[in-house]
Amino acid sequence: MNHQPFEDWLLEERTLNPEEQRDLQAHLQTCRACAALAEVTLSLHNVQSAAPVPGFTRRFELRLERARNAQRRRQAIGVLILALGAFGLSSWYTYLTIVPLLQAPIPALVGAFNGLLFWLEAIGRIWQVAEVVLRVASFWITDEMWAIAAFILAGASLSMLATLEKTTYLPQGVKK
Amino acid sequence: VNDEMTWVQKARAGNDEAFSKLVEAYQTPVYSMCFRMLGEPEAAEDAAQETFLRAYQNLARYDTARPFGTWLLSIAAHYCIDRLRRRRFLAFSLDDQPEDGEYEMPDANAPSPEHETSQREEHAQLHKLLKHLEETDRAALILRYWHDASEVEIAQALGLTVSAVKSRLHRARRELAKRWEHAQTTPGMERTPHESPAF
Repeated sequence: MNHQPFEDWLLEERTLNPEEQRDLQAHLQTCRACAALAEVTLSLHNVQSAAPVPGFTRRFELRLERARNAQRRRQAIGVLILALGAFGLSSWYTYLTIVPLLQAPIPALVGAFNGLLFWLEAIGRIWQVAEVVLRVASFWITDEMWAIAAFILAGASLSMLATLEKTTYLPQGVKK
Repeated sequence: VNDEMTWVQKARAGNDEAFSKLVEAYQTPVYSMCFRMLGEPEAAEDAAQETFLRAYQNLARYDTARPFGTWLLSIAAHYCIDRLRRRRFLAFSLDDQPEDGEYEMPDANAPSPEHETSQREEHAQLHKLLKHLEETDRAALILRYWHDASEVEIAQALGLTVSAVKSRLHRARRELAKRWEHAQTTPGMERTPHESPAF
């Protein structure tokens, strides 16, 4: 059986003129599928809300309190684990540092001093190399090239910010 | 609406009493949504409570340009869809659960007891048929007919396009009609005829 245009009329729920209304009624007498669609539509328009058992708000307040307590417990456990971890790590490090120092204090202090000198020397060398590279670069790279590089860098930064903004947007329907 | 915005602002500032007022105001639509989605009063109560809890925890993200009720229903719909999917994944179907007498339909404002009974049966049948719909289709249909949400609001709530909402609503109603017709022709599943024709 041809359901058109009656099925579309029912699905669209558009207002029908008297002639269309008559045609639809005639079709519904003979077509069970469209009659079912019409009945379902009418039924959907007459639906009613279901209400919760009285005391819903009070039960919610209790649930909120339970959730808060659970969160406090989780936070306390987290802080305890962090504190224990930090204590363990610092104890272990102290043990590794103190034991050699107590066994042979002079060589340990000299070693630490040498390590400090090494790092200061390394930073100085890196700075010298950077200065040479910058001097050479300023000789070979023209002002236009610097400008283009700066432009590209700015563009890349902007596009990265835009991507971050888009990907971190939170839709209204909060999903867990 | 002004009261509602005041309550939202106060709740955001940490006033629990203001949030309780919002719970009081929206408990019925949220519960109703969950009940139609999940089909059981206990699950609906739990889902409605969870919806309000999530709303409370995410109140800072609420966009005040949108109606608060739509935002709540959107949370409820997403939560129920997730729950139904998990339930399906765990192979606990609603089909395994008893259908008769498991819920109480609200009284209809019918002119006669016969009409009231027939309307109640009609609503009960509709409620049973809803569970056969795909979760998102079901949510769209409930938002449309139980909560008078526009297609745009449904699209916002479910994260769909308006045309997708339209096609989901059509598909859902076609599916309901097919099952409605089937229920009427299957022995033992007939609806009690009532005094007035549907159209």
